[in-house]
Amino acid sequence: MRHFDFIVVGAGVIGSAIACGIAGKGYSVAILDGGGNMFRASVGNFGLVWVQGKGQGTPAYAEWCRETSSLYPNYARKLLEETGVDIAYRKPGGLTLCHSEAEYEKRAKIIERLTHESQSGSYDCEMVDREKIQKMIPNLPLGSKVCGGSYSPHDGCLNPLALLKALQIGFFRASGVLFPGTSVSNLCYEKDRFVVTTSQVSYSSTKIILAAGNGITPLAAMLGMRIPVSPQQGQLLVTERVKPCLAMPISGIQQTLEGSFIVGLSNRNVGFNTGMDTTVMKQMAQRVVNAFPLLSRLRLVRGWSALRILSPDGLPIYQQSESCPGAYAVTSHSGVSLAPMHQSHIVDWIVDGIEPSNFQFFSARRFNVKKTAH
Amino acid sequence: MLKRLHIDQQQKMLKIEFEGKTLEVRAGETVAAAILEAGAEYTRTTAISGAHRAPYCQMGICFECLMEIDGVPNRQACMVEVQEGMKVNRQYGVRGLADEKLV
Amino acid sequence: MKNLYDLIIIGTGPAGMAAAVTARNFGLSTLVVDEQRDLGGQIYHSLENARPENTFALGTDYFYGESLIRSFRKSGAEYLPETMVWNLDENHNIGILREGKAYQLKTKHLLIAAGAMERPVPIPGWTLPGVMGAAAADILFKVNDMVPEEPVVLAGSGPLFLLVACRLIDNGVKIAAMVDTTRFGSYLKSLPYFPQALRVASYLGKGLSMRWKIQKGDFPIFQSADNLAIYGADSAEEIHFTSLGRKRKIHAKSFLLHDGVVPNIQFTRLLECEHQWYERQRYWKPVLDDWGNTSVNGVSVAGDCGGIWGAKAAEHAGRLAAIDIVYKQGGLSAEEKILAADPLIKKLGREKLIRPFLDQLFPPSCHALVPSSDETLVCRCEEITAGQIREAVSLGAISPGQVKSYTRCGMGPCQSRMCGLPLAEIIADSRQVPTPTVGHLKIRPPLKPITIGQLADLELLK
Repeated sequence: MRHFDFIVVGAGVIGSAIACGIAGKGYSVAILDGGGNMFRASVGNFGLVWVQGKGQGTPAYAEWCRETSSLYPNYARKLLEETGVDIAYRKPGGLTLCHSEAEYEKRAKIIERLTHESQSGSYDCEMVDREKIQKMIPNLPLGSKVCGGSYSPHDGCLNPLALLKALQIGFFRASGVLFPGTSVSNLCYEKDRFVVTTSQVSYSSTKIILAAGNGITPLAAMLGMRIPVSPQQGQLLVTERVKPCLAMPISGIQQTLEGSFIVGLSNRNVGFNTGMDTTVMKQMAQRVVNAFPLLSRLRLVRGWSALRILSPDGLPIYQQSESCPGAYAVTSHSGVSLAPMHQSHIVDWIVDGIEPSNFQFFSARRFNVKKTAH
Repeated sequence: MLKRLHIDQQQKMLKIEFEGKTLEVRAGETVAAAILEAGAEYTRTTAISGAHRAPYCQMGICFECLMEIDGVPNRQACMVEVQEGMKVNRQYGVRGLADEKLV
Repeated sequence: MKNLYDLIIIGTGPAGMAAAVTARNFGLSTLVVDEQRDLGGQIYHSLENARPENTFALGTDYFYGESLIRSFRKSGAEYLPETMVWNLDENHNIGILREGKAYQLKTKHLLIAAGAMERPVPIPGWTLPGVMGAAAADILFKVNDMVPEEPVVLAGSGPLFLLVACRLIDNGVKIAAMVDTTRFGSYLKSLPYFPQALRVASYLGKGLSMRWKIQKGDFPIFQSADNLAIYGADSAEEIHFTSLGRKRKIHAKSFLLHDGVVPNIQFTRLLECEHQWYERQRYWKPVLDDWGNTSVNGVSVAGDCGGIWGAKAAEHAGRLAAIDIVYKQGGLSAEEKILAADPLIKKLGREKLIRPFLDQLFPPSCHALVPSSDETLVCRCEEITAGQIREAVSLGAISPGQVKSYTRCGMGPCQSRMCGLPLAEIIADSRQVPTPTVGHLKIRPPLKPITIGQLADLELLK
């Protein structure tokens, strides 16, 4: 049986970032990935690295998001140097537009709350009026319904597909081994090592990291961890390529460096459905037209739909098994935004046991507490 | 690139414009066919490399026939019938946002 | 347009028209939509506008469609040409785009008769201006009364390859050469199917007379051709190939490629109908019962988009599908259905006799399936090469979806209509696994582009 220092289950953006980081430290690492039939949330991402609005009522998470955004510029540079792949990260700041006074009020309250809860004392996100927004986006006249929005200089965007590719290349360059199309059927812990059974062969490892997206729950259970996740569907639409006219990413509207506009930001709980819904598509299109009427002439070329991986409170879960020490579960719906954190802090935690501050907050035990409270 | 087989006196002819030049075309022809018949070697340049392309399938599958027709970019020219006074240009790479002259 | 139809048919080729006529005979409210301006699908394209001067070159097989078209016009089916279908969903809601406006329509039953397309032939230089599918030349003739600029080289194999050559000859177009990629071994392999093909000897007769016409033409015919590649500066100028052990090159103005015809499965893929792989011709087709029902309730298929059987078979299949739909909606009893269907089933069975022979005689050429050179473009829209696809596989992208994520192959406006088949073949070849096991791209709306504004203004069903 082939043995590795570390086995990572799942070659999505979370598994790849962790595997890449650990392999970079010189350990032998294997990724076992279920393949094309899996739901692959990593390739359904909108590509925003967003700070504003995240972590209401959970300052630890708000801080986590802030830190990742500050790490990203160097992270992107390093990935380019080490893998030759440009993940097209840019941080011109970001906007969330409000299409009515009611929306504006609601958004203002969120930003106010986050500012108040901020651990570092400043939140760097402000409400801006329509005039100010128009000055930030001189080329695109705003629709009449847009009354204002929230702006943060910490917000940015990137190409999530390029990120995944970069992480894979980085992993291979660090002598990582990938077993694609390999589903895990059983996991057990015996004599201080983990035995991973697949349909073809078995592997063993000293430590194991579960990053299997929406498939994580049964695997985690095999190693004594209760990791509750459920799929939340997101749809987006992509246009033909257009000459650059929108440099600032907006929640729900973004122009990629290739020139296509990506529009969307739906969320629905429809089980494991990755189709498109006509009503949702129409609503997304309407919102874009309301925001920037000029965009209505652009042709939508393709639709895309993927399943986010959501914990019950929507925040990451970083958990080590108590009954099987050396087994870790990592899940988040913000795997793209949090890649720098996963490749640094989470790797340090897994390899050297160094816990970042406020780390207990992300433990899966927070759900058990809620359960027994009933 | 193409040649008309039959021109007769009863044939209804129209005038369209291609890249600023006036062309005489037969009613009922597709824009793609009319442009190729007029001697255009290519009908678009690609967004990525700027390579010259011309229609491949003539039935709306390949999307190589994308052209700017009456100010609207990226239209499938093999699916559009010529109209009197139509203005046709090649689709040169990526479209601009406000290329439409129409509302 | 109505709120609810008994039957919506996509496609006005023989299958769609025949189904509409039958459905209307039993009083079903029927809507037929087609993206094209003219009736006839591809085979009978623009028949109503055919010029008398072209009667000979168009041939009797073409005008066979005349009576069907007339019946269709008289049937009372609601017919919307120049109407693009951009979406289908599991509730039988059809999204259409017509005259710049998007609508949603609802139907009790959907019949997809979207026909076929030419198999893409990704050889080096296939994206150069001056290179077209052979069927494209046919369309230019039928719709526009035009022919490719001479001299013309035809390269490939198959019945349509021969047919297009004959049309060019009939129209007096100078052919520089025919480069026939049919392998000698295929003749032997097809012999077991010859006896049943003899039962529809008229097809064989047609084939022979086409070959005879071509043989009499004053141009060279190169047999067993391989290693096709087209070269040119900004346009295609010459084609290189090997034939019977010798390297050749032919200079020409127009190059027509053909390597078979494959079902257009965008609609059935969107609906997630079950598909099966047809190994002999290496294409996917929807799994159908004898009435054309797919695995999705209320969705049927008739004609070449369910598997290539030809125009006459398509007509019979269209009628059979309609009979079943009428029965399902209470317009026929079980006995009446069998009575009505019986002669059609016999006719359809006869028409199908020629196909196994043709499929075995003209399998897709290797170069059409897996480009040997890394520089050959596979995804025309996004300009992705075979080499880039192979690189993605080496990074662990083992399915078309994963390769798409790494390379952008399949993300362009054609939504993998042109690159889907070669993409799967290249992945399978790199991984040394059978092609159907690598999977396929998921097709989502919009099936063809629709503007943000049109979608925003979509009239939803009441």
